[in-house]
Amino acid sequence: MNKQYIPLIAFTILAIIQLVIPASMIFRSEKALTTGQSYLIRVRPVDPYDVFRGRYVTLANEGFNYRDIPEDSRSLLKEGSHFYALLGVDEEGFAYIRDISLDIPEEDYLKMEYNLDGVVVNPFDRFYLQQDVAPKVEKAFNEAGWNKTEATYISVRIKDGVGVIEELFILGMPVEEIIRELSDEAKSDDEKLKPPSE
Amino acid sequence: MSKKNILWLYGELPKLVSKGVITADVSNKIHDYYGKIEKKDFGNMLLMIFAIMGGVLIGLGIILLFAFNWNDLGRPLRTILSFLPLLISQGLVIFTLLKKRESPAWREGTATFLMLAIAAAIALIGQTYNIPGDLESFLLTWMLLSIPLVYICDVNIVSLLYLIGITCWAGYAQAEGRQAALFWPLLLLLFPRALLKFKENRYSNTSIYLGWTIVLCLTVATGITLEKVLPGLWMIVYSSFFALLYLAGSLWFREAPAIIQRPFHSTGTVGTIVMAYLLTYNWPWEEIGWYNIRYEDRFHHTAAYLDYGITLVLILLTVILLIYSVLKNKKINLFLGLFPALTIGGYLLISTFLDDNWEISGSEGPVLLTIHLVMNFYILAVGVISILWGVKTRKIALLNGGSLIIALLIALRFVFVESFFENLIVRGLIFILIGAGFLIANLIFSSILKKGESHE
Repeated sequence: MNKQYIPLIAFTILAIIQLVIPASMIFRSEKALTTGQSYLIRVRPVDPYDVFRGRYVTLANEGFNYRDIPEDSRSLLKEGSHFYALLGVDEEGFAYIRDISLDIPEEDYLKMEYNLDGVVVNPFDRFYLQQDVAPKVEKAFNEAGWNKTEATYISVRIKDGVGVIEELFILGMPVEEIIRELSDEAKSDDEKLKPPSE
Repeated sequence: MSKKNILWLYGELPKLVSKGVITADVSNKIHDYYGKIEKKDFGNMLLMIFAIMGGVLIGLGIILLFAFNWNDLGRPLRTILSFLPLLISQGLVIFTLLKKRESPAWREGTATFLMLAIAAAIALIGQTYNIPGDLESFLLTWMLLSIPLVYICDVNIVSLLYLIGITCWAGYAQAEGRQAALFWPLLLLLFPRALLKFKENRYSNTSIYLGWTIVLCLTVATGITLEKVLPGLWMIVYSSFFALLYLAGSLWFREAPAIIQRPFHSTGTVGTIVMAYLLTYNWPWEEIGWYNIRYEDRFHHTAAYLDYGITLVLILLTVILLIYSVLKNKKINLFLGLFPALTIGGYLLISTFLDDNWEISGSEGPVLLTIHLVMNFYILAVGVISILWGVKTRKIALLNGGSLIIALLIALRFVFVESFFENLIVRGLIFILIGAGFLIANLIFSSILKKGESHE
C-alpha cells in the first residue's frame, strides 16, 4: 500500500468515530423520546435570583433526591457508583423514586448516580432556552411563585434507564406557549406605541 | 552558537574579507563549519496564522448563526445542523490530506476547525436533548477525539489545545470529587509528538510554544492530581518537579539566548526560588507527615499510591540529572538542583517530631528554627552565587537576578516575620551582621580586582 494513504485511512477511521459518538447520544435520546414512558416531575429553579445562567434554566427535582429513597434501601448506595431508580407515581400524577436496585430491573427505571460526595446527582438539571426569551420566561417563573412546586414541572420520557426532558411547564402551561403568548403581547404593545398613520 | 549569532557572523564575514582581516578561504570555511541557516519564512507563518484564525472564526460564526433561530427549528433539523460543522470540517481535512498536505497553513487551519467542530457537535446535541451537564466527560471525550489529529495531520495548535484541555479536565474531575490520575496517561499520548519536535529543533517556535504549554500545564496539573492523603508531600513533589525542570533546561536547552526561549530552565529557576521563599515560613510545615494522615471519606487511599509514585519518580529523575550534571562538568546546576534535598530533610525532621500541640515552644520549635535558618541561608547563597556567576560569565541577567533574590529576601525578612524573628533586636543584629559581611566581601573583591588590573 502506498504510504501516503496511511494518514487518509487513519483519518477516515477517526472521522467515523467522531461521528458515531454524537450519533449515539442522539440515538439514545430519540429512543427514549419516541418509545419511552412519559412521567411528570416537580421542579423548582435552583437560584431564584439567577435562574438563567447563559442559555438554560437550572432545575432541582422533587422526588429524586437522597431523602426520597426509602430508608431501608439507602444502605445499597455506594459512593461514586450508579444505581437504578424504580419509579412510582403519586396521587397528583408526579413521579418519584419508589425504590432502588443495583441490578437492571424488569420495570421502568432511571439510571442515576450517587457521587463521591454522597449526593444523588440530578439527572434533569437543565432546560435550554434561547437567550432572548429567557428574561420573559424568568418573569413567568417569578409570577408562578418560588414555593409552589406544583406550578412548575417537567415532562420526561424514560426508556432503558435513559430519561430525556420533553417540556418545561410553568403554571401548568408548556414554556413554548408562554413564550408565544409573551411574544404576541410584546407585538401588540409595539403596535399601540406606533403613531397612527396619517 | 545560536542561530541569531551565526546569522550575525555571516553578516560580518564580507566586511572582514574586504578589510583583509580574514581571507575569502577562511570565510568559506566558517560558512562550511556552521552550515546553512534557514531564515524564518514569515510569509508561511502569516498564512498559517490566518488559516487558524479563519478556521476558528468560521466555526464560531456557524454556531452563532444557528443560535439565532435555534428554538424555532424542529428537533430533526437541529440535529442535522449540529452535525454540519463537523462534516464540513472533516471534508476539509480530507481535502487537505489529499491535495494540500505540504501546506502547514491548510493543515493547521482545518485541524483546528475540526477540533472546535467536535466540541460544537457534542454541545449542540446536548442542548437539543437537554442532556445533563457533565463538563468532565465532555472535556475527556472531546480531547480523546482530537488527539489523533496531532499525528494524522502533523499539527501543533491542536496539541497545545489538547494540553490545556486535559489540564482543565483534571481540574474539573478533582473538583467533582473524582480522581484525575488519568491525566498522566493522557499526557503520555502527546509524548511522542513532543519528543519529535524537540529532536527536530529544540529552539524552533513550535518547540518553544510546546515547551511553555507543557511546563505550565504540568505545574498546574501536578498539584491537582495529587490525592493529598499524606499532608505536606506536595512540598517534596514541587521541589523535585521544579529542580527537574531546571536541570533538564540547563542540560539540554541552554543555548537559547532569551529567557522566553528557555521554558524549562526559566520555570524551574523561578519555581525553585518561590518554593524556597514559601518554605521559610511556618505554615507549610504545620501538621504534615505520616502522623497527620487524612482519613476523611473524600480522600481515596488507593489513589494515594499515585502520590507516592509521582514523588519517587520525580526524586529519582532529579538524582539522575544531578549525577549527569556532575559528569558533564556542570556543577553550577547543583545549587538549585539540590533544593529538594533540603525540603526532604526538613520534611523528615518535622514529621518525626510527635506533638499534638503545635505551639512553637514545643519540642518542634528548635527544628522549625533550624529549617527557617537553613532556607534563608540557602536563598542568600543562591543570590550571592548568581551574582558571582553573572560577574564571571559577564551575564547581566544573572547579576540582576541574584540581586533581586537577595533584595526580596531582605524585604520579606524585614516585613513578614514570624515568632522567633519578631524580636526587633534579634532582627536588627542579624541584618547588621549580614550587611557587614557584604561590605567585607566588597573590600576583599575590590583588592583582588585591583591586584588583577596591576598585573595586566
